[in-house]
Amino acid sequence: MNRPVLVVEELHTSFATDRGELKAVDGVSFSLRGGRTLGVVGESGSGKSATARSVMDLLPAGVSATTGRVLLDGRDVRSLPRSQSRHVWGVEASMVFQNPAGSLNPVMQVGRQIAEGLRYHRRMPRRAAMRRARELLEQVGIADPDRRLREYPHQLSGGMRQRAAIAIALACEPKLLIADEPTTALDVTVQKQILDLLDRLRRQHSMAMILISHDLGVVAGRTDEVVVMYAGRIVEQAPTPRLFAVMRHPYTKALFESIPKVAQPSHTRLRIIPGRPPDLAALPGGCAFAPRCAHARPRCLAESPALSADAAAEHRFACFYPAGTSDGEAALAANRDAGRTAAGLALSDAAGAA
Amino acid sequence: MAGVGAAHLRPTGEVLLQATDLHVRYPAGRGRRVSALSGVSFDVAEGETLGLVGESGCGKSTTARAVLQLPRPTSGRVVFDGVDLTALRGEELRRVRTGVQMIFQDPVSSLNPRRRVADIVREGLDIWPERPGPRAGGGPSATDRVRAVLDSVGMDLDEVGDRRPHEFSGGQCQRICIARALALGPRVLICDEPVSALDVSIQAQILNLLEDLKDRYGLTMLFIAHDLAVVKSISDRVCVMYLGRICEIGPTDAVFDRPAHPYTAALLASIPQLDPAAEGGEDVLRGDPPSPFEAPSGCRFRTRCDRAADLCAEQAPELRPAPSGQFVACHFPLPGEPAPAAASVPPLERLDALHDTASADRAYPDRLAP
Repeated sequence: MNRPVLVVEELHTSFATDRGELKAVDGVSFSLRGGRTLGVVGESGSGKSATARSVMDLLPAGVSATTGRVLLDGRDVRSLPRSQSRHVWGVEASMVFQNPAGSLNPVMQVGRQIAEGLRYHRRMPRRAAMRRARELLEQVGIADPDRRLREYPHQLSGGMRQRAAIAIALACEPKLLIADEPTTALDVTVQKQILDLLDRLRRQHSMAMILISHDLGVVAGRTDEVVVMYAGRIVEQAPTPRLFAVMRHPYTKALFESIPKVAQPSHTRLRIIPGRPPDLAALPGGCAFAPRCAHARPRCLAESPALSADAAAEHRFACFYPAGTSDGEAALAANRDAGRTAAGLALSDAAGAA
Repeated sequence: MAGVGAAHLRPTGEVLLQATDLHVRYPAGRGRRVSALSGVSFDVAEGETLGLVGESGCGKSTTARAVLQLPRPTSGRVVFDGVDLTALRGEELRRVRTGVQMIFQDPVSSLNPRRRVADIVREGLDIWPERPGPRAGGGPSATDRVRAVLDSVGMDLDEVGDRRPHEFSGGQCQRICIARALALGPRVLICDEPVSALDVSIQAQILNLLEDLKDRYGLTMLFIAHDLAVVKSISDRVCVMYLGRICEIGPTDAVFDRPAHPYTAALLASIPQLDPAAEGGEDVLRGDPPSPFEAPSGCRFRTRCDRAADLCAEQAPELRPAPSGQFVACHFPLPGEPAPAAASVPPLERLDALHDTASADRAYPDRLAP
């Protein structure tokens, strides 16, 4: 299982809008081996969903343009002719979405929806496909599968619909499963059930999985590796335990610190990230996070930092003045002395202590 | 019918808002009725924040709306500052209700897209010109008032007053909604999932802002969220609801650190841990909450509860005191062991000096962005 199931190289995706070209994904590269889970974290507009949809070739051709290579099991799937590529999407690589109600067909029985892929891609006879659909419903933990096979999506609860969507995604035994905010629409107790289920299925099928979430907590316990995205780029990437122990990019760290935590007593003052996520149609020159960053120095406004390797293997980050390094501390100290960052953000030593 | 008890209520003189035995039932077609709230009682003291948590459909939002008489509860009383809102009608109700304002989950759709920000914030003042008390500060004119409340949420009237909501981000729209809610100088602010539609970095800004405004105006808050960490961070007391009833209510730290109701414990154990080394744990709750059409007899949580016995099916448990200071509606409450969530410490060492930099942290983050 050492060969990567998925290799993404220099992926760029942009959308044509009336305000100009919007760079949703700006040079993203990563690879993922079988049986492993990659977490993708970021806020809205960070490019996490656009990356997933670019990989899955789900973006409308008219308004978006994608360049770069996507290798699935060593094959460059973006260059395949349509006749072949349609047996890749949904078969070798499939996806689970945030809103399970929207990804199911409301006027088709659940069983037929699960069997559809098997009948079309695997040429399975109807009865065999329905038998397999029943097994899949059992696998995803739906009680009374015989009854549920004949029901319509509106007859299922939100959690059950997401289980059914997972059953559909798994029907053809994909090598790669992309889960895009699979639990964001669900309650916390159901969220745990679904995440546990995805974890179990990934192990059983030795799939590679990409788990996209805005929630660092969801990613912390469920992934082997994490990439943090901001304004269409990967700003930090590391094995999960490493990332949560050492956050180098000021954005990663600030994001982590701005989350309320149940372990803290109530009324603990939250650290904030000033400002708001950038407008992708009008990105600042240099580092996109610089206007909100306490470490920002003149260089950050002039040059865009590349994703580079730390001495510690496998930990990459795109920052000239990373947190916890002598460069980073010096930049922060210099900004504190000046009272503001190079981008003009006012700083004060006492802030945040209250 | 006894509801779920009122032992946890404080004397009427000590609280600003008190709801007793609220029931809300809706017609559901074919002659059926669905019960959204079944005997909910709670109170909020002046200057206190009460957090409401629970899964979707548990009645959190219905409770908030019942307080505002939107719609009027099927039965039960809501007393605000000594006045029974359920007994008032028409203009009298609307006048008293200016003292209780609300903000919602989706700040963008809560603002009229055709109107300018200054008019949106000002509308309540035009309807109730005599209302403004000393609470919201500012000078005598309505414009001064609008300027003062916009300023308190970190916005400048001259800069934003003539713009329309679509020119603002979600976080800024929520600030406008808060300013509008504050314009009439309310004593109670009801927040229904005010940060769940916002990005993580913006969520912290709004939560800090609400804490600041609470201090500044002495606001009393009813704060609804499904995110337990958010509720813990902002609440003095917390109320856990399940299928239209209260499971547990009491001081926030007691409920979170030593939950007495099995449902509270299950909710806490479901929170994803920020520590990659934390044990995943077993399935804490099976299945989904039952449909409100088929609410179980007795304790409504019993169908998903490990501790359920025959008694739980026969008798609805009443709220009674638990050892750690909260009240719990359970026949077999937990002994009050520390919850697993509270026991684990975030993996990052407390880095005090690093990113807590922007002076924006106090109140005006958006404005400080260059």
